[in-house]
Amino acid sequence: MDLGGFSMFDLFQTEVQQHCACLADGLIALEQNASDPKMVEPLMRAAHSVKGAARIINLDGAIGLAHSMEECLVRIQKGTEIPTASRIDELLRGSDILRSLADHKSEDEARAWLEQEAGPISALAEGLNLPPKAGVSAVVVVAPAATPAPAAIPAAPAATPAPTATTPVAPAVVKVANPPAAASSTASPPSAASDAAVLVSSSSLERLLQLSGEALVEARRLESIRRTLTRAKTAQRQLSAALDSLQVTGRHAGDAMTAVATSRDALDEALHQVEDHLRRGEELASALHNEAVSSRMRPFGDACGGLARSVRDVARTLGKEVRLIIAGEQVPVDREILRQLEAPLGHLVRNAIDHGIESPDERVAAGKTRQASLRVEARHHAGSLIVEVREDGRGIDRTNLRARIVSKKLSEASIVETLGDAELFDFLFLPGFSTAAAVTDISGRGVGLDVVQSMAHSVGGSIEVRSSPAGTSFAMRLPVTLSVVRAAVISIAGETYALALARLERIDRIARSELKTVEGRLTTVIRGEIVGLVHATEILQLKASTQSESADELAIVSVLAGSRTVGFVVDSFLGEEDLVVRRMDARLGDVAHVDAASIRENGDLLLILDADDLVQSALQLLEQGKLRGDEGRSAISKRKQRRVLVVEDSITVREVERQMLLRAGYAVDTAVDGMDGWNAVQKVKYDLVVSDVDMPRMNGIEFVRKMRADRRYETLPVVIVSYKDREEDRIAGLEAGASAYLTKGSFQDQSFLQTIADLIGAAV
Amino acid sequence: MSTSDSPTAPDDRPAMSRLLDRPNRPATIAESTKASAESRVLRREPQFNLLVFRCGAEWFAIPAEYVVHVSKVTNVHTLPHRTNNSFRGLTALSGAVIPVFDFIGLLGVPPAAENILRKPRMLTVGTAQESWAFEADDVPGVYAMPRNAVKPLPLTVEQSPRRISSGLLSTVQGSTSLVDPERLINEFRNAIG
Repeated sequence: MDLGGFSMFDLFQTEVQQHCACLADGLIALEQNASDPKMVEPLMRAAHSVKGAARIINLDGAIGLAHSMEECLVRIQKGTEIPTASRIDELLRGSDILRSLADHKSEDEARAWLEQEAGPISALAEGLNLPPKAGVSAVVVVAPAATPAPAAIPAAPAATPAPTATTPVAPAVVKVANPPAAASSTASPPSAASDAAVLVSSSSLERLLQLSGEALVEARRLESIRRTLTRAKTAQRQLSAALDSLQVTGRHAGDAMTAVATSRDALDEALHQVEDHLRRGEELASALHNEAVSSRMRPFGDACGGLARSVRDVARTLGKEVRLIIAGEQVPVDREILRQLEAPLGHLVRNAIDHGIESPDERVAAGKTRQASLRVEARHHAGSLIVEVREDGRGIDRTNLRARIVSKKLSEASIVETLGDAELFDFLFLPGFSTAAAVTDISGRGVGLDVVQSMAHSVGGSIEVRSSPAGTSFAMRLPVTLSVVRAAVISIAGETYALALARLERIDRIARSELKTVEGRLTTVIRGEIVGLVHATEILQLKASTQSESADELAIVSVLAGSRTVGFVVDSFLGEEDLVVRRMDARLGDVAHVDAASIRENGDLLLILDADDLVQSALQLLEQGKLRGDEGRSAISKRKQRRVLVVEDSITVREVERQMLLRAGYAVDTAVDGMDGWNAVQKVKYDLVVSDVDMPRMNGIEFVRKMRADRRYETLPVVIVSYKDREEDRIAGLEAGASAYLTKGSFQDQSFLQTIADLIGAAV
Repeated sequence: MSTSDSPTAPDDRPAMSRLLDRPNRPATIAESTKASAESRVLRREPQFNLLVFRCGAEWFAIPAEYVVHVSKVTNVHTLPHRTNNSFRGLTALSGAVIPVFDFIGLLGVPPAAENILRKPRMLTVGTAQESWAFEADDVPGVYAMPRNAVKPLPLTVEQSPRRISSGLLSTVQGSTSLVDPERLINEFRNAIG
């Protein structure tokens, strides 16, 4: 492993964090199974390793503390000392101090902090060398590190009012390796060695993911070689058959037959090999890719490291008896989600003990066991990760909650009375809302639940509360991974984009003719509901491709905007795919409406759009009146735009007429004489024809007669525009079947366009 | 040693043999020693490997160590709100997502005559961690050039604040601008900044 990129302090941090987690867990377990010397061994090793790590970078205070902890643990192992609750407290605080030390950003900061706290730390180290004080623990106050990262060292439990006469029973920790519901549960828990974590730089991991993705694309490329070979084989067979049918004899014919047979065998062999190689290559590459993607996953247990400790401390402080059950420790969770989950999980647990779980006496009075059960569980369900914190406490007091909502003037009493559980519990997540009668250090500060909810929302998840007198449960529904997203792949302006399915309400394919306008705004009816539409190209400022503009079918992607729906018009819906998410290049900064990129199976890139951002922009543009919403023009009109054919031999006049018609919004084609015009009308369906009279090959009068004689064109409006302004010319034209006869002076006085508009209506 | 050269000693060998067997004169040896020694000095002269490419009507050369890879042309995806004359969008190369630039749009290079054959390639420059791609119209290959072959830029180019070249070279393709990779990457950075 290349450790070149890590400083000695980085390594110290990593090592100490690992060992302190082991110490914290082990000490709590030790408290319950004091008689088992085997449990002490890993703790001794951990303390010893921390000492060694501290020695490498000469952190003297830490060396002394770790040494005292190790010595103390040695006595416990030998049985010369009994691990009392207060001794465990001391050891835990020692582990906390070492952990805080490692949490500093730099070695210098750590050193400064260590010097500043030298007094309390050496007091603790000395305390560890003395015989344990029965029942009462040493009071050690160590100021938390200046940087925000390290956790504040909790005050010793003895410093708070003694909860009850009897020392509370330390919480039991039950770990359930795999819940039965977990889809990914393995037959046996992996051994410690196979699950060992190693340091790998995230950029190296990212590169691994990229290369494995490319390997998969390359492996699939063999498929085209296989197809070529199959074609060659077919051609070879035809060649062989043709040779047979020639019935040639002689030495050369024999040679040819032999050559044909040889080439057939060679082709068969090659095809076989390619097929075999393709299959194995694809299997291997996709296994590699899956592994690379899943290397972003860590077991849920990694986020539970501090929970046992936290539960013990909070329960001890509040005089409650709690049994913590952690289930689904092996459930894989995205590294990034796991990182973000730690704080919310800690909060939910503290919240549960503080507000949900009753005191042992209350519980007994309610007919429950003295010891409450607090279950923290992770499981995969229906493609989501569910993280649930559930206790068997008193449940949320709805009357109390209603009263608080009203007293905080968050809603009217009459309204609050009618609210159901879901709406009522939503108030719990408002910033600053707290139901605790007294503000406690534990969880009554009103900060926290809102943070829990915003974490869930930030990764596209949600949180659900259920409560009864038998207990309360907070269940977070989170994506299993942030590196793979199930998405709808769509085409916009001829390019491929995707939208995460989680953000979509529905996708519909509709005929272009189903687009309607309401007050000039584009809408359509989807399953009986009118949906306001916006062109995705307009939000993204992309030029619609000509191909997509003329397509008869398009797709509507509906995204929820609050309780309403906004439909985005896109070219087409290409299907659902699991996309490996690639973060946008940092060099690009924030790109509006684009969330990430992804590489498809064929090796092409697509962009994953941010649905919320799209909706926001759409609403903003609508508000500012900047949206062309009245897509009457570009969408509906495409089919209804009137098309005019100009038949004229003079290039100047032809161009004048063409320009005038174009400017009026008509689609215009031109022909250079009657014959050319006749050919044109047979190819394209025109709404109107403008024709001159004097033209080579076929003049205008003949051209009009010819059309009138054909049933297909007998009603097609034809306007003759000529220099000939005598009455008999006019009559000749109208008699031939022209709808109108104008002179070229009509260009000046608008009567040219007016006549056309009268005949077929305005351009659109 | 020089007996065969001596006019006094009779020699009955054919004239051709005598000519071929004749030992080198010291002057000839000295001359050829000097020549081979000189060419060795030439070979030791500082050289660099340059990837030569054409964009539009102009030829460019970039130090090979700045070239991440040369690949066939890939599809470039427009980046909404960002794609412009200089920045084309993003592409996937070797499994990485890389920004693609329009070299001609960025530098205002005139287009090539229509009859010149295009053999387009995608050039990726920079480092493996931070790379930048653009399409070149032709990439004949990597050439080794002595460093002292670089001639100064004409004053008009030298004074241009947005120049990307540091000198001129004569290659088989004709006059070729030696690209200063840092300047080029800086232009790329500005185009998306």
